[in-house]
Amino acid sequence: MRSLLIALALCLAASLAYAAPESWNTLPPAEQVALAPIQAQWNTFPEKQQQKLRRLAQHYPKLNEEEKKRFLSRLATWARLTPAQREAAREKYRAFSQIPKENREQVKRMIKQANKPPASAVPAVAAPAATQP
Amino acid sequence: MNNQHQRGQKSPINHRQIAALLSRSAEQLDEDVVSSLRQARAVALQKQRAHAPVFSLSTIGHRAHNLIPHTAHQWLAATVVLAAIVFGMADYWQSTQDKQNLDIAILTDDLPIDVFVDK
Repeated sequence: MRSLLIALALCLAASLAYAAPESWNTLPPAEQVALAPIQAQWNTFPEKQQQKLRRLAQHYPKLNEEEKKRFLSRLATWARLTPAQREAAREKYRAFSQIPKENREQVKRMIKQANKPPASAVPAVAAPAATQP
Repeated sequence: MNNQHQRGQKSPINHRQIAALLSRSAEQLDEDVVSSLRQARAVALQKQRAHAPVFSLSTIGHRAHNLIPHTAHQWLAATVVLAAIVFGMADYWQSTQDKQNLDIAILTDDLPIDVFVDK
């Protein structure tokens, strides 16, 4: 009985502990495309983070064009975060996705409005140009 | 000179002769001593068999036999342990999948990443 438990524990430990480091050059080309924004930092990432990022990269081919653009532009920011920051972001996203759809759309509109460059800044530059001639 | 010659050679008494000498002297022992010696020999042989198993295919079979639960109690314990490991691994896998899906969602959502990330 004891040897059975030891054998099982060893199998479990071996499967969890296995994480081979991967240098940039040995990554499959498809993953290199998705991970291109973090190529320069790739070798500085710990093995575990490399594995997680590679798993994200495997989703990349399934995304549509717009999503691919967003993925590439946000990946470097995402990879720079600490595990705690990433977990907090997931928690926020999870909470946000639980709001009823209408409210969610409303919040999205508000956020997009707030993130736009200040409305006054555009006419301030454009207005003198329009009145000049 | 002869003595030196003898020392250079192998001892003239070999193991068979020693065994014969011992057998002859054993015949002179009384019945009680012989019986207790015989008993001690049997005990020693039994102990040796128990402690030094010869490695063979049957040893592997024996070890494998040890790994398999025998009583209902052992089967129950093994099932509980296995179920716990399977559920633990399934749960770990599920939470990893959930995290990945959330990560992809954050990376591709139409809301900017700054909305979800505290800096």
